[in-house]
Amino acid sequence: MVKLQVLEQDETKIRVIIKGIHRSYANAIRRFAISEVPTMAIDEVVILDNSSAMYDELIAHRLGLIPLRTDLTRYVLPEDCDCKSTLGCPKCRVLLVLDAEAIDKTREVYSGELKSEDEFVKPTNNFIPIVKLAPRQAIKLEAYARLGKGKEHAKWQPTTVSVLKPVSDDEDVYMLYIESSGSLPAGEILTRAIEVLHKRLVEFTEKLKDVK
Amino acid sequence: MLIPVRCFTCGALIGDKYEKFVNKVKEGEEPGKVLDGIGVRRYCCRRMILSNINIIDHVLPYYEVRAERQREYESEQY
Repeated sequence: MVKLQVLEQDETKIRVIIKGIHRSYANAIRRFAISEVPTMAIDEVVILDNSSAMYDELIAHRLGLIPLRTDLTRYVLPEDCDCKSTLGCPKCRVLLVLDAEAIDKTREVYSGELKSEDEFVKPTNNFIPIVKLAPRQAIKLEAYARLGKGKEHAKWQPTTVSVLKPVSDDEDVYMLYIESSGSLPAGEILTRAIEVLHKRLVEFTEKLKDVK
Repeated sequence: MLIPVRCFTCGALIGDKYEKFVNKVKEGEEPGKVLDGIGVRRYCCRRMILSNINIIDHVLPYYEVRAERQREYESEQY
């Protein structure tokens, strides 16, 4: 009998006890939570103006690492999208714009100043510094966010820690602890990981039928 | 240059916490306790904040002076 017991759960973390499944399968769930559950992150940046002390690449990299709130029901991975376009469509990308300028005082530009075309997909935290501008410096850019997987780049990883620990030595009892980066609620990461793993296994069985 | 957005090791968000940390330590609180208070528990994330110096703060004064000079120059034009 497979048993799942939730020990603690909130938006950012979940701790469950899994009973009755093999270690390799339990570990697969952990690994899928890290690398196969898609999240939203900025992937392409068009710099229109940058007179700050930081390089374009450095700013683009920082933007990519900002966790964005993700809605997996409304967006699809670009490779699965039927638009087949390299530019993307409203179903597979979100545009965020940043237009900031320091007039007569040095100031920091925060993630809260990014304006998203989708009200839902926006930085999970509004106080992440992006650049610091001296007077008369300005930054203006367009950033395109898309879904991606952790195996492609760590910025798309939905988890920060994801660990599996055996509870007893002789039985198949494991403790799985998942902590979210903020883009998805911890509980959803777990359910999505199991969903993707299941889909993969079904695909695999189908492939095996062809071999026979 | 600026505080990294995420922890190098685990990927947790730390960018927003540096400023809070610096302000509280300046007020005289103990650094370790401040980190506990803002929810930075793992030592990988703690070293990100503890060992950071915003180099950009050492660079920007030059740009501030330049902006000041430009302003002076422009006001002399008229």
